[in-house]
Amino acid sequence: MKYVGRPIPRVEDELILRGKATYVDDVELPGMLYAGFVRSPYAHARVLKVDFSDVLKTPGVVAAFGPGDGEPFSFAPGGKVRYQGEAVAMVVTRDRYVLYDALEKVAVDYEPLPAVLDINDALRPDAPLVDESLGNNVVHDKVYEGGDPDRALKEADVVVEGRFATQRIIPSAMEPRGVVAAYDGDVLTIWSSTQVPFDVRKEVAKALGLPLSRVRAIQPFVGGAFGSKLLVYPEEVWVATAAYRLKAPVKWVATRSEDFKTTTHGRALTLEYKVGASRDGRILAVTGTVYADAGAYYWGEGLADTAAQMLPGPYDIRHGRVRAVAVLTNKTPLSAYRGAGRPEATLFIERIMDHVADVLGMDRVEIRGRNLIRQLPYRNVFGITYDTGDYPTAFERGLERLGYRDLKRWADEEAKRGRIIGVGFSVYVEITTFGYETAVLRAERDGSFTLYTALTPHGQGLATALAQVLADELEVPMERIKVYWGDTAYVGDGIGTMGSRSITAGGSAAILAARRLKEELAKATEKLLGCKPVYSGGIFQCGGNSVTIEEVVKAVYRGKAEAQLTVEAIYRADATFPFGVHVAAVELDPETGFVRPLLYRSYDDVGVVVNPLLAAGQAIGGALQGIAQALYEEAVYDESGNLLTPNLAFYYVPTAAEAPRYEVHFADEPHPSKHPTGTKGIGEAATIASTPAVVMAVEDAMRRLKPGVRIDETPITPEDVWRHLR
Amino acid sequence: MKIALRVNGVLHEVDVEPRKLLVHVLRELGYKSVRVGCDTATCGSCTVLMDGRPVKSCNVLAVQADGAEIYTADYSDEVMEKLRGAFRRHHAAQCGFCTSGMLTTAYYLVRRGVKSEEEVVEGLSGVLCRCTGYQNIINAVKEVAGL
Amino acid sequence: MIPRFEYIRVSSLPEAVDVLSRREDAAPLAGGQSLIPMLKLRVASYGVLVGIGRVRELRYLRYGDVVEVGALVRHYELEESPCGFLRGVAVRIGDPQVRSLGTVGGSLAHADPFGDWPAAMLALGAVVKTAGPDGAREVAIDDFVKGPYQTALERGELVAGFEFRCPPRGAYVKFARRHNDFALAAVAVAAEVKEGHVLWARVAALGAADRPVRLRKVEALLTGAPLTADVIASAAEVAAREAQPPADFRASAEYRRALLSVAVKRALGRL
Repeated sequence: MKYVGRPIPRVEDELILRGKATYVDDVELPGMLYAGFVRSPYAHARVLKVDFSDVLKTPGVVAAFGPGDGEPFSFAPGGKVRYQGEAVAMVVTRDRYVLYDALEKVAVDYEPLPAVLDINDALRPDAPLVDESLGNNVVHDKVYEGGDPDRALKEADVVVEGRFATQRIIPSAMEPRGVVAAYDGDVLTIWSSTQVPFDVRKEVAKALGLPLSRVRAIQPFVGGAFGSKLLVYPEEVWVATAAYRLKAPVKWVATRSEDFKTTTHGRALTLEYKVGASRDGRILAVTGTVYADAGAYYWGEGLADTAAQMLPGPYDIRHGRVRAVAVLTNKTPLSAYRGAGRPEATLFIERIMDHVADVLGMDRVEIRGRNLIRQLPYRNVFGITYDTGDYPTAFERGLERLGYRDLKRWADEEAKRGRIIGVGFSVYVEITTFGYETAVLRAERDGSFTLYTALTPHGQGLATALAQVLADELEVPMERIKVYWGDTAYVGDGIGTMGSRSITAGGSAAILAARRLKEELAKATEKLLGCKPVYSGGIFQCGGNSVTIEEVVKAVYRGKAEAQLTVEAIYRADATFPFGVHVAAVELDPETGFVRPLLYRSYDDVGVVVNPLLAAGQAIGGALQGIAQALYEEAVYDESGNLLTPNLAFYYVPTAAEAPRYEVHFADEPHPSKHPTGTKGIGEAATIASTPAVVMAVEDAMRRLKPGVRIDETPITPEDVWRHLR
Repeated sequence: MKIALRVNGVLHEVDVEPRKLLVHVLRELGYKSVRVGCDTATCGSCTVLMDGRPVKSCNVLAVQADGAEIYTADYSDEVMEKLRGAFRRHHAAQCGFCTSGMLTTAYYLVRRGVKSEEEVVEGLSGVLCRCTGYQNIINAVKEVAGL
Repeated sequence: MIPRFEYIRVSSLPEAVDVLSRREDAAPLAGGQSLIPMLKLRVASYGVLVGIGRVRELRYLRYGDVVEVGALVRHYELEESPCGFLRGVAVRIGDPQVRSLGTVGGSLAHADPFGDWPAAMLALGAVVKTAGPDGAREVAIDDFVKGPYQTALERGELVAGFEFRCPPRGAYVKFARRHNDFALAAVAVAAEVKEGHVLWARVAALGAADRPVRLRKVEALLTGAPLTADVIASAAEVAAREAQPPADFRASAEYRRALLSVAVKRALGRL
């Protein structure tokens, strides 16, 4: 193996570092028009009238579309808007500055309706209905059960009840969403800052009644997504429709304030729990309900369910019943955000462990040791089977490698000098990878290779990692491999980059494609040389003769032998389970409650690490997002449904000054997955582990001043800390 | 209003509406590295050097920049190439959207002679990054600054 | 995006005053760091913006017995000021890019309730020099900030500069969620201490009211008192009682009160 496992810098950086990467707002087409949206200032309102008479008289305005325009436009469905920021109308102009003048000229008559902002309010029998076609605001309700939880609770020595709430997070990718669409009368092309160009293509084709073969969706460089760009948004269909009807290219790029209200939010899950444990610290049963504050539309299916099904975490809990409930409210719709239910699951179970440890008077490390799963594969109580691993060893090695006990001793020493330092850790297992993925690989006549992947990287460096994987499989220098992504012209269908699946699903598909290609070329070689060849390092050999890949390819193009020079592989990528231990240290200012993250260390078993430089980048970046969830960020609404944190000035995405120092470790004896790559995925692991590690660290710090204090929600703000300590 | 901008050493004379933001004029002139990431002058993706200082070009009217000497992340000289090399080796870019702002700010810090990690962090604190967690960026700048 | 406006660039103070007096819908544009975001979000709109950035008369910065700061001095120019108190304030304003363009005069004219310079000027006991159609005025800083985003500037008037003495001792303590955010609460102290006793002290706070204010009861307690831990503790207590902090989604009144108390203590501890 020459490339896999090496910290190779990215091939993508050539474009990115020169400022030449094309993001959607860099797409310029002749005659391009600019679209914008009139958006509801109300969280809940009937839309009585939309008047375009003024705006259509404004110079520079080309068209306006509203509720009166039928499908595929779908403004204010049911005659109302359900969240502040929901689009009511669309205006298309020749100039992006005129656009914002024009938007103000659309006159909308609203009849404000009472809004529900809180799950408890939304669940009341007399609550206003977000979706009038439902009898209430519960849009999803499913119970996951295994074993005999009621009996286990009865037989438990202690029963511990509690609640943990996570806040609403605004994913805040540095690039707001945007779309460009163009129709030349034959083919509709759409560029979108998306993770899912295949879905965009399907939805747009369906909406416009075009065959897929005449719709091309392009994912240009995307400035971050974190799960907030993995659904097809209405704007993508609307902008495509406008381009189709107006027969001119149309561009829409969200302003940040607009993006904050219209790009899906994350987290906002709450767990009410009741767990039973034995006196010696074994968790016998975990029961409860996970509530998802789903927002105005149920676009984020499965978040509460994932949190429920992964709630047992890496622990051997044999009895359980968790109900997953999604409740509609008049807020921006909820959907995936880095981890999508697994950060919540890990946060919940880690907090439960600490709660039970407190009740039993047990050490936090010890209780986990008592409960960690010892034998894998392991089917958890809700039917999820964890594949490979060794949790107890990882736990022990991780704590040691990360210096957990040294840090605790250091914190004790510093306390004597008046510094209040808290140290925390977390243990996790997480579920990554799903579905299928497509790779198309072509052998070029000069011995180079072109890979078209259906993956949709947006910062991960997958073009580099895939080239490494392919270079090893094909035994050729990495420079001979070029990876393309993000264009439905390259590949017919796929899923994309999300759920920490890419290197596993996309990498394995690439490996399969490479193997198929080698078989094809071997077949052609057999024809050319008259014997079954052996392949090594780009050369086929048999019977004392040899040919290079180049020569075989040229021969095939000249009709001298038959082979598929372009092969496709569709790989079914079942779930796999990375796991690990993370440690955090924070410093608390007792007088003000301010908490500063000092350091963050991770120890992860993600199976094979294709590129440790890139994997560490994911671990560090992911960690800060989880740290930010613990300490800084929160989307706040007032009782009328106004988003009080409407932009980056008021929503606390951390700066370099808030970041801790990080140290990343990968397991020395990793447990590979069963996939051809042997990988398990890393994209979300750190985000999953970091919030509970920091929460424990803050609680640890607070308990130096006030024993028994417990954190039961995120974020834990300075004011929260101050209140706890009074 | 007619204004003159010298961008990366090249003189441009353009006629702009007073309300036009510098970032949009720069992008229309072809300097696509300058990016718009927010509307409250918080994120710093639009950071360029103007008369030797880092400024948020989304928070400057083009008419205010009349006669100014501007450098963007499209620029190349020895220091900028050192920074690019360091960014690459340290994996200081992921999605790349903040990278222009980080590069121009880093360029300013290195040319000014930044003296400590603390100063680097302070200097970079006006550019938000959602992907990297900042550490690799800080290390890349420290390396070029000789820290 | 920004609504339309007429732009008149002036290169002298009389020109600026002239346009500002004639047009009711005119506002001066210096660094624009506070004004442009408001225009972008369409929470403010003007018929005319008067570009005063090149008015040389307002760019002076002189360190004599009296420090004279022209309205167009940019925040970054004070980051390495020989006056320690000014340095301590300048580095806490916004972020490096904002400091490149934002001006001290602009900050005072904007009078953000959580503006760092308004608090600093209160602590300095600065005299604000204005220029207007009726000539130049000198307004004591105590009379200049009249409310949230409200100043004593009259129609057609501009802030021209500030005058104050660099305090022998001073400190600025600011509590914010992120490094570069606006303060949740902040305290600026300027004082003279001789043989361990406070000759005089001016204490200004952000987050103690709906605008930057002086904490006069704290000042009264400190005047003539020995600068001891006990006195500092009392001053912190008085600050908590004197303050009437606003409550908003960023912080409760109670918490601001506590922060102010700690800020007073720490600022005095640094003198």
